[in-house]
Amino acid sequence: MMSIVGIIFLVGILGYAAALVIGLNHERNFALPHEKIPRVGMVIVALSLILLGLAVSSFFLIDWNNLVAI
Amino acid sequence: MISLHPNEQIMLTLHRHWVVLAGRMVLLALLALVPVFLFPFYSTLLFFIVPGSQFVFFLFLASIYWLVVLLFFFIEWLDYWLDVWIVTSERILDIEQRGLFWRRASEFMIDRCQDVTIETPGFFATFFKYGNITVQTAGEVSFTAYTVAHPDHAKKIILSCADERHKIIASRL
Repeated sequence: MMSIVGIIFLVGILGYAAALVIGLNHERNFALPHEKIPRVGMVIVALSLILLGLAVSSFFLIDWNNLVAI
Repeated sequence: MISLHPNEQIMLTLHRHWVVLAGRMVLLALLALVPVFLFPFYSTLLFFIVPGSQFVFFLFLASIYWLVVLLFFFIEWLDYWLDVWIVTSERILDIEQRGLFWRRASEFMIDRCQDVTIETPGFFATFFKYGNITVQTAGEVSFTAYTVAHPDHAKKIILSCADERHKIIASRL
């Protein structure tokens, strides 16, 4: 069970990271000459890292052998 | 990065009005609060799935849910930030971004601008001073920017830039 959820989780995280990188790249490449690069992307990255840390740490703390209904 | 011609100046940039973005952000903020509202009931909700470690499992599900909401927030922000009209002293650039992968950029010379129409669609638009602005070009193609802030001000700037450009072109002849 843990390995199946782990693979799905990993694929999801990779997809998420790809979307984030594409978004940040757009934000940088398509900014106007006089505009500063908006910091919203950086805030999103910081929040994502915090949530990712939470998700990964809780993933390893779950007693996967005890799951009964999934 | 958008490149400008020599001596070309940006006169105006038009994004959608912040109210339009705020409406979507409020919806996303409410969605982000769902796990907070479910928190008091997590042990009951998850008891039959994970008898031992409900809190950690709830934290795992909540963090994945928040990551998804955050990604939607980022996509909404990009859609708002990169969807822009740029009025320069020589041309108008209409850039439209949809999601992460769809982008359209059109531009036309400002001296080809024939008439500019503004539209205030409804109560909220009147109250928050936003509206749609349509520029008709000489090629009978029209470009419309939706829900931009202060469209009357934008109209004045576009018309004055077009007028200036006509004068410059006339002086060269």
